[in-house]
Amino acid sequence: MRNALFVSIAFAVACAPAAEPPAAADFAPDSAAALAAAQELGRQYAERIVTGDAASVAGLFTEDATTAYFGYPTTSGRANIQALYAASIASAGKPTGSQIAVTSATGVTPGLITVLGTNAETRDSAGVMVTQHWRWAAAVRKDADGQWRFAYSMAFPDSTTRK
Amino acid sequence: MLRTLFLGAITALVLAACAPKESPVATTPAVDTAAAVAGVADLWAKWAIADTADDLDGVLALMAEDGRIDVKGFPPLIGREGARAVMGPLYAQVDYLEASVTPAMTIAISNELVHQTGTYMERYTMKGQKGEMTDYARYAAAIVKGGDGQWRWRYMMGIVDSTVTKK
Repeated sequence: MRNALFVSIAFAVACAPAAEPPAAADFAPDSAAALAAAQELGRQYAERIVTGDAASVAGLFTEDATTAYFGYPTTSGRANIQALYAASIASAGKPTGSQIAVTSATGVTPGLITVLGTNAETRDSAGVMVTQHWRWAAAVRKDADGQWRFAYSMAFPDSTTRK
Repeated sequence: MLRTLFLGAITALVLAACAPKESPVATTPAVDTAAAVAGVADLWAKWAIADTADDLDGVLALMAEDGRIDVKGFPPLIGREGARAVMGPLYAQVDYLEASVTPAMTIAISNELVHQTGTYMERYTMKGQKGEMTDYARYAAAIVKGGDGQWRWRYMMGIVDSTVTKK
């Protein structure tokens, strides 16, 4: 009996996993985590764009990001993207509202997701609230600091409404 | 002596049982970027041929069954049949004379998935009308390799930046 107990304990102790292995990936493709990451990034973008702070908005893009927006030249690099947003805010004014909706988010690799969405951006134009409705697609990458950022973003407006 | 032998045998048994087992290695095949780039170039070449041959079926065959295309001025084209519903009337009105693509950046994510950005142009006439128009556009695409070896658009966004009219 004592020997049997010893054998059981020996197997149990010797074969116990040393530690929880590190997760190989943050999420599986098409997982809820990819969607949550994309939605959080969208929320941060909407929050920052209405402040009119181009540097803050540019902080949501990777250092080597590229944007391709209708009406603007293709722009690469965070500093250039900041300048693009600064010029846009200077000419059109900062939006009073931005509603980002994530249509889909797909995990491509552990640090990369692709996202489709819409953005309704409202500006006050001499007392008239003008809302542009955009469609956008993005590749979003997780940087070393754990923050998800836009590595590539393309967008175009579908329609404009006025109130 | 017997006890020592017994303990020795048990120890050997435990060590043998707990020896690290060869775990299946999750091998990721090396990405053959050149092959992926060539496959995607073949896709665009087939598109240009089908587009200028008024071959809607040929164009749709280059879209993944569950693909999606977002182009400014059109509703989202979702799935081949959704794309057919939008592109059918368009092909009935337009004669595409020339089409070409110039990739700017190609990233082979795997041997079955490529992300690509670039520009494309389409020169066309409206059927029954004189005058030519040329659209100049930017695109971003996720392109996948099917089981049949054919690369197809899983997703594409296109923005026509300008249209030049020649009378």
